[in-house]
Amino acid sequence: MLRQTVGSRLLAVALCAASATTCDNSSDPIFPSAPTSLTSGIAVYDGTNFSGTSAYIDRDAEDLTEYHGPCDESEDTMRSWDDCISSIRVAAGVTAVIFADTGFKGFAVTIDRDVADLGLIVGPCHRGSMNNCVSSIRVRLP
Amino acid sequence: MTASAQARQGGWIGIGVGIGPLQSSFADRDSQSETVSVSYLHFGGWTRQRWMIGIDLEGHNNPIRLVGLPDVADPVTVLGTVAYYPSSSGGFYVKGGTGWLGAFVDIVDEFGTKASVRVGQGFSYIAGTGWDVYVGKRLWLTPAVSFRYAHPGDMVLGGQVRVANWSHRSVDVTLGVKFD
Repeated sequence: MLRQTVGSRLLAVALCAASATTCDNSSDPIFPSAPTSLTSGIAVYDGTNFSGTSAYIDRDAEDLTEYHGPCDESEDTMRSWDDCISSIRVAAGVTAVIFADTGFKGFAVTIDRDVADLGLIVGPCHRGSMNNCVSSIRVRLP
Repeated sequence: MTASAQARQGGWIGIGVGIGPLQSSFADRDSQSETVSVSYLHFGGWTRQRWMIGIDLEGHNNPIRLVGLPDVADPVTVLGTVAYYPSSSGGFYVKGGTGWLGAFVDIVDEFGTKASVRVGQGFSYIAGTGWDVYVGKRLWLTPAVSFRYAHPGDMVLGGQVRVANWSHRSVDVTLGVKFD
């Protein structure tokens, strides 16, 4: 069974409340979709070039396996954002640190501008890149 | 006791080290040569009186530096092998095998965290000959000479080809210890 913290649930509720988008009614935390105009935080996408399913994140996410997303690692786990991000938009002044492991551990890369293809960023995953490799994110607001 | 003491039943476990010249070829640069040291771990089992099948795990003790990669390339090989002993009692054998080779490099992030990344993979062949010499207590010394060919192919890091179409061939002399 998936481990879900109260903190992550509260985070999801706060994110939903702060966004103009509709949130899922399921009990699993979920990120709101990325806004059209990004003025704070970061937006992550499961496709390159900011395509596919998106999510808006404006605070640290310690374990992306806990957030409903478009990817599934196996039939036994829920679809999540873990190892699922292929491009990232970053609002002006915001810095994100993406980690290959949950808990802000593992190989990490600081992102301070839009990255259209994480497959071109050196990392420990497929083709030596950070594509589909992010499991936790720290967000530093200005 | 001589090599004729081989029971040729059950299996063997062996470890060994060796050294020899390695020649690398590429699609995007001149070839390069170096002396490499290899280590191996071998598991084998007798199928008939003169035939042994096995699995060899091999690694380089001095990984290979390739321009374009942030660190040395560290090939790791897994081979399925067959050895034939022409004599029903002697220790001389010839051996061949094929398998998978992966090339790994270490990368370090801005915080100092290190990760090992597979940057290429391909096939590998081995052909060689050796001699099992009994030293006692079910232990055997095995000097051997082997030719190896491997084709890891493109070395890709950050989604980009850093080294194009790498292949290498080597001849090494190894000394191993087997336990049956």
